[in-house]
Amino acid sequence: MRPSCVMTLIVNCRWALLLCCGLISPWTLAQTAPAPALTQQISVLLERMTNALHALNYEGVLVYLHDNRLETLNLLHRVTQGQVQERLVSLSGPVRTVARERDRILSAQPEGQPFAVDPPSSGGHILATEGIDPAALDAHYRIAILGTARIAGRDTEVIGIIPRDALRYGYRFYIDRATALPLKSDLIDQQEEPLEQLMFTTISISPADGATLARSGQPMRNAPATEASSRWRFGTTPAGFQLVLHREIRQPDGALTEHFLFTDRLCAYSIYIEDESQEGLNGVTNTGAVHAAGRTIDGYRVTALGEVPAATVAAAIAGAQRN
Amino acid sequence: MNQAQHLTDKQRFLLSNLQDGALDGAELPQLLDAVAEDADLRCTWERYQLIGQLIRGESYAPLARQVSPQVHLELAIAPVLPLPLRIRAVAMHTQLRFAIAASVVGVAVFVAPAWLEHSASPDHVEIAQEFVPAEAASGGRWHLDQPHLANKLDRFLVTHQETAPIGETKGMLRYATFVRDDLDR
Repeated sequence: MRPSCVMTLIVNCRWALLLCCGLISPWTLAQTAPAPALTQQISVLLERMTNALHALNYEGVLVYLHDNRLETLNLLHRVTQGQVQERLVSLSGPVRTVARERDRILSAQPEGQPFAVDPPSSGGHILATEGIDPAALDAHYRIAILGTARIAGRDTEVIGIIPRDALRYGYRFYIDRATALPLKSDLIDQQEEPLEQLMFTTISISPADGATLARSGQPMRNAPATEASSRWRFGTTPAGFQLVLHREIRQPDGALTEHFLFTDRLCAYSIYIEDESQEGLNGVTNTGAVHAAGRTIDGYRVTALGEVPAATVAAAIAGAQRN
Repeated sequence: MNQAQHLTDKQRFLLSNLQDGALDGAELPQLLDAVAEDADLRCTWERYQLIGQLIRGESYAPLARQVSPQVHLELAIAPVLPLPLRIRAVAMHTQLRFAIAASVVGVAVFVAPAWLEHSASPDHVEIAQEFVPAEAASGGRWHLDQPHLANKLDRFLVTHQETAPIGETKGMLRYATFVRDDLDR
């Protein structure tokens, strides 16, 4: 095509071009989704990270920064003959510990009663979470490779999962290039301000004994939204959160509690419903970035809880209704 | 009623704690309400601030303490600038006007729905505002005075963390909140 023909075409089609510029520019600006290749790269990194957390043996000292306080923790993770043994111990202040033995979680703290939470009767996790699927998060998070950093003397790739609104938190993961273990993780808000930071200062890593881990359950990353099959419905859930799990759990005193899990595929909150004879929470409270809200509805205690902002748990139980 | 009667020792004590950053969060709303209603209490707060600044050797501007009268004064003496009778239309080519109009339509059609979807719905904002903080203890896990309730919330949290999607990605660090020191120091 001759240059003069091109010029004629541009002149004749200038209205269409201007219209396209007007329409496409804002549309293009509004789209911040990473390119498929980048999404794939992030997906692979996050999957490697999740696998490394379970497959490797590691032990190290971490610093834990929260609320302008700095604490030190010791973390041990060991896989022996397909069984996971994990232990997290505070090294500063009174001794507080959480341990996992054969899927049983045990916690001991000086200011509270020690307790154990047994695995579900079916064994293993109800839903195997299998890491994060970046493609499923785009509606509510911006995902990006933020660069590189050196943590605990090791080179890391930094991945950011940044929330697009104030109803959820995001993360920055500093992933070891050699082993894919997350050597630092920041819990961040919409402005990318860190709420809590956990960082290894020293770590020793070794391969596990090679036995395959016993994993079961439907993968959470693909878990379909479900319907509440109980007498409860949740009319107005916070934007992006869907019900993916409903079950009954038995408390240590024998009481039955209904458990509903809602997630946006990254952040999650649970709603627990018990009868009113149980001691319950009224209002909103928190421990660190974990918020809980409680109220009584038609003679039942309803408690929402999760690592989400206070507004999210408050909205979650406000939408609970008994059929 | 003289000033000594009006200002209780407790309010002065709470103001002093607030100045030192040592006030219990649960006492703050009541104290702020009292300060908002009571001019004498506000004067006490200003005096405490002034004393603090002098003790720390910081510079201070005495007139800065009278913010409201100064704003009124500035508004009273500020010159009134009349608006021009007619703002002259900016010369703009028709095609450029059309492009801008198309951009606005594009924003309205494509961006606004996504933006509205990502924002918290007004219902949720209103709902969230209905909730008040639970009766707070000065420290301890969950800021609760009821150990059994705090224990139950801990069990709920473990059960939640065991099923939440982010759980396996964080490994044992999902339980860091259980070994943190929540006691006020």
